Amino acid sequence: MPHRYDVAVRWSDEDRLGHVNNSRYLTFTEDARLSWLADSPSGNSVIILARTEIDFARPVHFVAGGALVVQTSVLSVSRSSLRLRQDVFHPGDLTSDTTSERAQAAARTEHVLVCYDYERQCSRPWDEQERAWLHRWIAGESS
Amino acid sequence: MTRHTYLCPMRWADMDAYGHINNTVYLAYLEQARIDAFFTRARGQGLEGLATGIVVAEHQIRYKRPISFAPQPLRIELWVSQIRAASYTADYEIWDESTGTPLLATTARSLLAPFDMAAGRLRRFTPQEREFLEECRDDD
Repeated sequence: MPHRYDVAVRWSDEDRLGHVNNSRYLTFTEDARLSWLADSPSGNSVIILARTEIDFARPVHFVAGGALVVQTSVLSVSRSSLRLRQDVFHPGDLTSDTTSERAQAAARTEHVLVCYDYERQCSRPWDEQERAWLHRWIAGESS
Repeated sequence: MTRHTYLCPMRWADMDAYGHINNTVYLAYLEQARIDAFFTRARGQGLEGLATGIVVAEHQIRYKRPISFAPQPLRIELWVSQIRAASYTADYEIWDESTGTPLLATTARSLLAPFDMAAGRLRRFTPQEREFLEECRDDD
């Protein structure tokens, strides 16, 4: 099961053209990552973002009281990095059929995150606890 | 009538290098509180001008305590303190409850004016709009 995070869209997220601006999606997925990592063995302060890809599939409007959902799952884990999928949905587009569900996402994102020591300012390998925790979130693997 | 309460989620990116919510971000929080208070209710009563035709004339913000990002939303209380023919004053308190004890982090005040978007100029409130705003005063 992917991790689920609810995003409160702000009125100011919409730009002049009446859609939530593309730059906001990075903030949505960032907050979802921080929530996801809060329960990890080392918390959310050992990760740095190395690469992001975003596909904007459907426009999003601000709706008073409305929210978006970010679903996060791990695609693969390497020695000191991981590939992460984070899809952004209107809640009404989430279905129980996860294979077709991705097609309904408003935005599909993939990231490369590196295990990072901020004090020494360099990357390091995942330790065994971190690796085991990350593997639980691999899409398609049982938790 | 009573104050409107809005639970305002923070974003990690709202913090700056000092580890506190940046002063400029508070304006977005106050704006969301106004939208939560007015958009749906005003629209529901047919007062579209109060939902989408209001502009900010002035802001004051007093930063009493710094706020750090936390998953727990801030509690913003909002009420109307003054209504004039072509403006109204909104007062706010931002409460930080992340430690369990409510702490008053911020007080603020905005002067807001109805704006005729089509004509591109300020206008006066209608009697129905004034009545709606009267209900938003804090009589406590």
